[in-house]
Amino acid sequence: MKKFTMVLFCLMLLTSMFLICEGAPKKVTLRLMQFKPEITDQVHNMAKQYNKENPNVTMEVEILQADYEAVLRTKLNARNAPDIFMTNGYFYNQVYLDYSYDLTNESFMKQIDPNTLEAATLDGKIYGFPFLVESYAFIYNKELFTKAGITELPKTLTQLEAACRKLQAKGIIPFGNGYREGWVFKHIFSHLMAGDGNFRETAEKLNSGELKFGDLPSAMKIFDLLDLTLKYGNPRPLETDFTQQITLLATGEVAMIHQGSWAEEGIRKINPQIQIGYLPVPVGEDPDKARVMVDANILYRLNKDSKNLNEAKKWLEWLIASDSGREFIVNECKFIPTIKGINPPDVQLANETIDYMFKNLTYPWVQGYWPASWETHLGNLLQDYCGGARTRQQVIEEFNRTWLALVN
Amino acid sequence: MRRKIAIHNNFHLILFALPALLLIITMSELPFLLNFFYSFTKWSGLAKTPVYIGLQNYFVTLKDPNFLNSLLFTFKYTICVVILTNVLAMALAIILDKPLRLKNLFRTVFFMPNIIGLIIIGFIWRYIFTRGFDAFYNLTQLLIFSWSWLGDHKLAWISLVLVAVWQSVGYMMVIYIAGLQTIPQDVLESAALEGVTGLRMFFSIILPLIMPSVTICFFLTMANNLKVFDLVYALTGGGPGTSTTSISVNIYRESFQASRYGYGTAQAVLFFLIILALTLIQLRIFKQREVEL
Repeated sequence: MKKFTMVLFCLMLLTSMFLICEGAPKKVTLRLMQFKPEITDQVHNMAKQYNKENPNVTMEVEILQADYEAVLRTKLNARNAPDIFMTNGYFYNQVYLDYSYDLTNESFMKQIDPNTLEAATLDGKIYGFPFLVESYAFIYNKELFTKAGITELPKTLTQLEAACRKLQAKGIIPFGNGYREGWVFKHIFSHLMAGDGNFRETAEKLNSGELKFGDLPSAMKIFDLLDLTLKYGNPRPLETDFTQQITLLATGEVAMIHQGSWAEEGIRKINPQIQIGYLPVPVGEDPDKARVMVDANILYRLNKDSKNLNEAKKWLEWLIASDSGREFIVNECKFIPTIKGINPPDVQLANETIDYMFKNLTYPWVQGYWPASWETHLGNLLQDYCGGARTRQQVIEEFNRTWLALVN
Repeated sequence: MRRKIAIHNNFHLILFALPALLLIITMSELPFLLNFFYSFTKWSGLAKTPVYIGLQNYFVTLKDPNFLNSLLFTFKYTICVVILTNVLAMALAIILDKPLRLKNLFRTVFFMPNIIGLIIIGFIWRYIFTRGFDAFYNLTQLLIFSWSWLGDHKLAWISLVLVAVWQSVGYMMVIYIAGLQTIPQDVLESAALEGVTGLRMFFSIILPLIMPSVTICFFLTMANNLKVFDLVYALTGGGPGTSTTSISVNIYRESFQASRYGYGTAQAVLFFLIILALTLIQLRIFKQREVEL
C-alpha cells in the first residue's frame, strides 16, 4: 500500500510539472547577425531591452565586419542560418532570394516611407526592412573652410581646385585620401556614374555591350577628380585606411575626406567640437550635377525558413512600430529613419543629408545596378591608376573587360 | 602464427590512429575532394543547386589576367623568400653553432618571430611601416623612411618579402643547427688537417653532409610561401591594386568576395596541381644530392 501511494505521488508530481510547462510561453532564442560594428553597443542594448519587454525571447547578437559575407554564407549553407540577418539591397535581393522572407504584405511595412524602399524591392516585392538612410560625399571641416576664406561651396572641378589653392595657402592639406580601402573608390566613382543619368538603363546598356565606359562623359571625369585629390592630398594615400583617414579630418590636418554618414561617430569621438558638413562631389564642369549620394541600402532580412519566423516578425514590428524600437534607431544609433513621420536625430551629417534631400540635390546609390563584385575590380584598377601602375586608357579597357566578364 | 600477431599488433595501431584519421578525412580530405566537384559547376556559394558547366571554369581561368598575374607574383615572391631565408638561416646557423657566449640568447631571439601568428605579424608590421616609419623619418630625416612601403606598387612586394624572411628565418636556422650538429667532429678535424679552410670547407664538406636539412628547409619554405595568404591579407590586403595578390588571396577574393565559388575552386584545383608538380620536382633534385658517409 505504501508503495502504491509513493508511485501515485510521483505521478502527480510529474504531471504537475508538465502542466506548468504547458502554461508558460515557449522560450525562444532569436539569432541576429549583422555588420555595422560602430553600433555594437547599441544593438546589444536593444537586445536586452527587447528581452525585458518580451521575457520569453532572448536575442543572440553576432556583429562582424570584414568577413561578414563569407561567414553569413557559410552559415546559410550549413543550414545554421540566423533568424534575422543584415545585407545590402539592390543586387543582393537576387543573391539572397532563396533565404529572404517576402515582407510585401506585412501591415507594419505600410509605415515605411515608400521612397526608401527601392533598394529592398525586387520585381515589385519587398525583401527587407531598410534600416536607415545613409549618405556620402566629401565631408569637409567648416572651420578650416572659413579660415581659408571659402564662402561658397565649390560645385565644379575648377572651383574645387581654386578652393584647394586657398586651403594650401593657409598651410592646410586639402584632401585626406583613404585609398588603401578599395570601397572608397566605389563611392567616389558612383557620384560620377550617377552624373550620366538613367542609372538602370546605363547599366543595362553596359551589360549588353551597346555602351562602353569611354562613352560615359561624366563617369570618365573620375581621372581628373582623382588627379586633383592626389595633387592636393595627404602623403602616402595608398597606405591610408579608413581609421587614419577620419583621424586626419578630426585632428584638423586635412580639410576634406570622401566618406559617409557612418564616419561621423568616429570623427566626433576624436574631436567632439568639430563642425562638419557635406560638400557634393563635383562632376566635371556642370554645377547641377554635384550632389550627395543618399539611399537606404542596408536591410534587415528575415530568414524565411526560420523556425522562429513568427517571433522574428514580431521583433521587426516592434522595431518599426514601438516607441522603444524607434528610440533605438533614432536616439541610440543616431540614424536617419525610413519610418514615416518621425524626426531624424540631431546629428550634423544627418541634418545636412536632409537639407540636400529637401533641395533635391541627391542621387540614389547607383552601384546597386552594377554587376556583383565589380566594385572589387574597380577598386583595384583605380588603385593601380593612383599608384601610376596603369594609364587612363588601360584602366578604361579593363573596366569594360571586367564588367562584361562578370555579366556573362 | 607470426602473421596473426602482426595483424593483431597493427589493429591496435590503426585503432589508435582512427580518431585522428577520421577527423582528417572529414575535415580536410572530404572538402578537398568536393572541391573537384564544385570546380565543374557555376555556383555562387549560396544558391541551393550548383549548375554543371563542365570544363568552362578551367578555360576561363587560363585566360584570366588576374589569375595569371597572381601566379606570377606568387612565383616571384616565393623564389625571393626561399633563397633569402635559406641563405640567411644557414649563415646564422653556422655562426650560432660556434662556441659563442650569448648563442642561446641569440638563438631564442631569432626564433621568436616564429611563435607569433602570421596575421598578428602582418598587423604589427603594418603599424611599423606606417606609423613607425613616420616616427623614424622625423627623427633621422632619412629618405628611406618616407617611402610608401605598403602603398607603392614597386615597394609593397619587397616589404612582404622582408617580413616573410624575418618571420621564417629562425625556424630554418634551428633545422640547420640540428643538421650541423650531426656532422662528426673527426671528419671536420681530418679535413682541417688536410688544409681545408673557409669556403672550401663549407662547399665540399659541410654542405653535402647537411643536404638532408637543406632538402627539408627548401621544401618547407617553398610549400609555405607558395600558399601564402595570411601575411598578404594582413599586411597589404593584396594591394595596391592587385600588385601583391597571391594565388590564395585571389582564390579567396573570387570565391568569397565575388561569390564565384565554382570559379574559385577551379583556380584552387589548378593551383594544387602546380604546387604538387613543383614540390615533387624539387624533392627529386635535392634528394639526388644527398650523400652518406
